[in-house]
Amino acid sequence: MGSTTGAKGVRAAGSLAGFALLMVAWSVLAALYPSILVPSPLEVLAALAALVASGELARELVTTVWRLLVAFVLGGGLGIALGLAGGRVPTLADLLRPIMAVLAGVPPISWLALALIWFGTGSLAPIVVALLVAMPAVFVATLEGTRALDRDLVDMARAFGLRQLDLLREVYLPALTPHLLSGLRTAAALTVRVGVMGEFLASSTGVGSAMALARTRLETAEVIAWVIVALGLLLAAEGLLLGPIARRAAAWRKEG
Amino acid sequence: MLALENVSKAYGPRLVLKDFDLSAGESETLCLLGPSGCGKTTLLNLLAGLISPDGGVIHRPPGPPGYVFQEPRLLPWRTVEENIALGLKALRVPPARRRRIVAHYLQRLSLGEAAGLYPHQLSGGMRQRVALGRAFAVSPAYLLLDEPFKSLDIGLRLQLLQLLLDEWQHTPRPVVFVTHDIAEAALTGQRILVLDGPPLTVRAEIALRTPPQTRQPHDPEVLQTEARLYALLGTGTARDASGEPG
Repeated sequence: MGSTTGAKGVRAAGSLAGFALLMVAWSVLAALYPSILVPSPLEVLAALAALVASGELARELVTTVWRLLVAFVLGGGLGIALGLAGGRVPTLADLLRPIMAVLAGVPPISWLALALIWFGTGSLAPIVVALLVAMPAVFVATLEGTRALDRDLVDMARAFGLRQLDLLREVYLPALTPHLLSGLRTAAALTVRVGVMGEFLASSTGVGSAMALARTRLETAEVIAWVIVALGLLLAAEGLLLGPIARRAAAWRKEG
Repeated sequence: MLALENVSKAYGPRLVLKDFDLSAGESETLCLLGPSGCGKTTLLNLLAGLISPDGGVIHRPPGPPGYVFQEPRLLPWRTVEENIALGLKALRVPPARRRRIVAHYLQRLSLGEAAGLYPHQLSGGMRQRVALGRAFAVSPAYLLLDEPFKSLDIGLRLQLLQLLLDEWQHTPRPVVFVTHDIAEAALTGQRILVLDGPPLTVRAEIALRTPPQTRQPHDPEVLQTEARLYALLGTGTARDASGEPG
């Protein structure tokens, strides 16, 4: 126990040192270049505070968060559903795999170009693009999970009369959880990145759009402030959404 | 009545059962001995309804089977209690009754202390006891045992065998017990089938007279049966004993 806490302490100290190094490098660059190119950390902090005070941050954040949640829930849900279906019906998996490979392989920016033509500017383009990019990651992870499933356990459960939902709840979902979580983690990161990019280019509201507006006004400190907000979204997805699920799901491994 | 009538089953070109007949009486313990891969597990899976026959009819008593596999096959993410309750959940037994039944078997199988533990925290013997508890808990209409004690040491094996027989005596039901262990068969079976295959065939059938729960390892009938089985399964060690017909 003591040694693991010690190791954790060393790792935390390392991370802190890395962060400090980043700040020092940033401050040095800010001192060398004019504020319009590289604003100092303090200037960025001030810009962030102004965004909070004016209520702009909260407003854009709400817009972005609901868009990302819709994209994540739909993309993740579809990925899981199709992955499970593909695990049951091999022909369906063969059918879906190339489609998902295309979805995952096409650069997100090309989807955005098409989404702009199809849906115009608004919420739909960033949502659809983020969804299309997130879904394949979850699909592939789910399908792999069903492949790795212990058939003996499934047979056992069937012998004891478990069917459909019981089988899903008692066997499939717990067995698939590690795979699902790794897929959902990738999907969450992709959703935030692609969703904010979608807003930057194809929307007049949300964090990405605010970033784009700040750029046209050459408010560099504000641009970086929005970058920090986007980074916060990424960390929140991990820390508030997926982290707790992962800890709960893995609780049985830890005991004893 | 638990029976197969004219049952055939093939996996691709491999014919495992061909017009095979088998029956176990209402309260009969039927032991099956035979080489690995002769089709015994397929037979049990057919009886459990896990696979369907290509032809023929399967008669099962009404009610769920209790299946104990070679490996415990416990759900790693469920506690001992939850694993024992698995079949009861599927049967929609109300929670209060479920808890009572689980508590009964936890106590019967000396697993009370382990109720809240997960399978990876248990010893091999404890895991197999949980698997037995899971099978007993559903009040199975028939029991299917696929070498359930194979990987356990002799002491545990005899202890669990006794538990099995106690439970069977308390609630007689058809038991189909696949084993590789001659002593286990001679102690448990009212009838013992020596099998070969695939396709599965019955090479010999031995019926025993004494009730299983009263047998001791050194009883004459048990020893005689063991000697006959040794002879039938082709080991030279029991040559002298095999001369005497049982």
